[in-house]
Amino acid sequence: MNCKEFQDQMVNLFDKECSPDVKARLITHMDECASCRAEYESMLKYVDMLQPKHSPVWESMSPKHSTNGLGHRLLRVAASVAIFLLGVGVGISNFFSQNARATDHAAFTLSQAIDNVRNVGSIHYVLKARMKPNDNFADFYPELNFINIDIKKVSLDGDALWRIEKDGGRTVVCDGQHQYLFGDGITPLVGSVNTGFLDQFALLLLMPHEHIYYLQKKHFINDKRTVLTQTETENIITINKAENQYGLEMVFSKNDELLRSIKVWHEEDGQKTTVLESVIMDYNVSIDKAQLLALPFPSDDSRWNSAQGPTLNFGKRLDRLQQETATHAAQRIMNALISGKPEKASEALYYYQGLMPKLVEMFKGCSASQFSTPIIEDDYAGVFVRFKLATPDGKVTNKRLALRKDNKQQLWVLDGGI
Amino acid sequence: MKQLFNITSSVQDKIPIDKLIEQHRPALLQYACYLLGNLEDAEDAVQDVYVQLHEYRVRPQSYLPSNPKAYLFRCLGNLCISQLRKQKRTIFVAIDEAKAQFDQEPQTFEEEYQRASRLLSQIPEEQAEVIRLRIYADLSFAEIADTLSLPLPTVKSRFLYGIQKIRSHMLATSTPSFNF
Ligand SMILES: [Zn+2]
Repeated sequence: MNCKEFQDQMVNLFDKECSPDVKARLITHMDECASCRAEYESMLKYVDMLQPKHSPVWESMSPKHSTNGLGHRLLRVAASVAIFLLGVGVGISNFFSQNARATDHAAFTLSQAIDNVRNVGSIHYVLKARMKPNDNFADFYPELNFINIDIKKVSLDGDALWRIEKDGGRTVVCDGQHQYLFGDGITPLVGSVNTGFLDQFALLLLMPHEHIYYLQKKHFINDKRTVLTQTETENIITINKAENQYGLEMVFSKNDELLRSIKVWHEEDGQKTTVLESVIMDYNVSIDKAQLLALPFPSDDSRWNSAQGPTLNFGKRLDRLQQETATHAAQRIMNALISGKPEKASEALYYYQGLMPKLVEMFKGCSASQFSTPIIEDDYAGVFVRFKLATPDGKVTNKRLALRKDNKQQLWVLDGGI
Repeated sequence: MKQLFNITSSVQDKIPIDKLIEQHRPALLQYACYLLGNLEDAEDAVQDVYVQLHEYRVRPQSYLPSNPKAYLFRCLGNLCISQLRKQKRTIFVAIDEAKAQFDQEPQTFEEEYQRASRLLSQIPEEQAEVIRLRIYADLSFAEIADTLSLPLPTVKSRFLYGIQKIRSHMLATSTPSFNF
């Protein structure tokens, strides 16, 4: 390619997708020709200036309802995992625009990989993650052992049908109309197709790509820690400390440009602990629809509870609970559990119905004190209340409950941290 | 397997209008936002298109657009523009205010919208239209060609010229004005 041809074809780099062949030739020319590269980068700067970073659309679409949403801490890690698996529309090739040359290549690789993943009919991933089987889909615990998470997704007539299963724990199924959450000791819940059962993990599967793009913009636009390494058969993208103590590595095979492995690690005091790692990443495998959508009981069974949250009859209790502060709610929840009378906080413990005996056992003989005023953090739709928990052996630990009231009747409901 | 937009009408025709709108809602809303300046009006506009297209469906088969997605964005664009005309709304940004906006990254949608409107108002509307469809509606150049019934090379060159023009405007405004 000569300079004239480059100038004629450069515009394709700003298209939604550009054939890998054309892309490769344009990049090769830029590698050799500083003036063409400068021209492209200068254009990129102005395209980037027009790219939205604060769209009210995204803000209105951010996941508001999640059943166990302490995910904010790992939002960025989850998002960074997700962007590679889901589609990103507008100008991903522009997304590392202000970065060094190497990341331009990384962006090209990513962009292609995303297009490819978007185009596959089915996905089967097995990831191992340091998570709790019955906990939410957002929090990693570097000190825990790995559990497997099985992810299957089929695209059918514009619907995404999927199943995410934590080994021995939570399962979430989406049949294109509803999402179902179930598992040992968990209140079976049903919600709309947009329910936030998966917290930020949902980004792996479901989020509209504009939302991912938004997250990507928000978190990575000025990220200069992205490195692309190439081997004969693979492109490897590494993001060091993508968010706080987390880092990420993705490997794409060069022949089909699909994501082949992924690894997320936590780094503390120079010590790296892998918290998520892919075991299997297969595409276009045949998936049995009946097995994919299997539920423990029929979808119209009365055992499914609404993900919308508890509903109380109008009366004094409703008035009282609606006026309660988050701090009071936290105190009431802990007192109910410690005194062995969880029914006193049954509405607030709506999502934990199946775990009551376990929780009562857990807090036997404990005492809770020094409840804080509600703390609001950026990415979480609810609030946090801190307190000190003293166990019978005299140990005192700092705890933090997540509470939210974005349900129909605006009652405080425990959402995590227990 | 190719992208959705390369699938010809035979497949997309089977997707009902409401589903099609649902599928593209974020892009539709965003596009409308950047034409109308706020989410509320944008939501109304998308709803209006939905109603409009619903009526369209009862017409004879021969009237069905060959690329429903492109058609969707064309309808929305027309609707927003006629609405703007009705309101005789023009976006006015004082020059020094605009300059200040370019010095720092916009912090809100409002600021960002003002900046984008300002930048796009400096170039011919036909170029701005292509840029809006590419960046805010997230359409590919091929889809834009369908939407505007233009040849693909024209779409590409309008995009390129538009961006180049914005660049030269920006470079001109950012030149120090104290040259004495
Ligand atoms: Zn050159």
